[in-house]
Amino acid sequence: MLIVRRRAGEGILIDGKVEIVVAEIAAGRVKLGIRAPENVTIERTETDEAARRNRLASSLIPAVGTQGAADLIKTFRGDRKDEKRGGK
Amino acid sequence: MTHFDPANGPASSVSNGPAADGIGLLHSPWFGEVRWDETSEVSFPAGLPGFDDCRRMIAIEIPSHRPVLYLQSVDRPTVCFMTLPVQYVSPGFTARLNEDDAAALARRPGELPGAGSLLWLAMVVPTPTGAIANLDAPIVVDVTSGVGIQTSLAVGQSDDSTRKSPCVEAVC
Repeated sequence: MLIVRRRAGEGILIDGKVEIVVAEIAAGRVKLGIRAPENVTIERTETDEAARRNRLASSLIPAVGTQGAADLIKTFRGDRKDEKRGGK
Repeated sequence: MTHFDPANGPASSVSNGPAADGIGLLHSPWFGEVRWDETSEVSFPAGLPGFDDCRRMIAIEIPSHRPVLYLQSVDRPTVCFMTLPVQYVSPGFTARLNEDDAAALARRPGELPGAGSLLWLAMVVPTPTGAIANLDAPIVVDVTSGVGIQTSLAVGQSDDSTRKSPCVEAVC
């Protein structure tokens, strides 16, 4: 991974097309500004993982139906009781 | 919220028709014909990750399935998510709205699950051995405004125990 030190107001240019500017640095957080062509998809890293899980989640009801899905939760309730008995 | 009686809801085709007098109508493959008051819709202005086109949802509750809440897409009737209140999945769950999410909901940053009219839901995700509830990316609905988002929690936004065990195993 390439690591570059930048101050607020400075930026980097990727492939002459995508510009990332450090807009603000405060309290352990960085605010970034991004300029990119419209066909470039930009998203937070964690959003990609959320999308993967959402696609999986959307397959639950087609696979087992609403009743089957609700039955999963009944089992889940039992697991929670066991957890409490285990003193967690 | 729309209540649904399974005894009267045969599965059928997948198309949604025009609304009349503020009443929406769709044919869900999972609930059959569903009618709802359009003022009770949940609007996701940014869609959901992986489902950018799903911007209108209705929350469906089946009394015998409580506390499950189904989020049925109006835009794509084949899409339906099963969710649970985060506090049901993990009674000690705490997380705070970050600035971006608070702005999207027109709320104050730092609001906690259970605060005001915010409903925090965890999506149920199937796994090879059962299912997990995704506490890493809860859905937050402002019940008053009918606006929802799916937030992705960064480290420090939720409590330590949640971060150590972000997904609670539902079934083994």
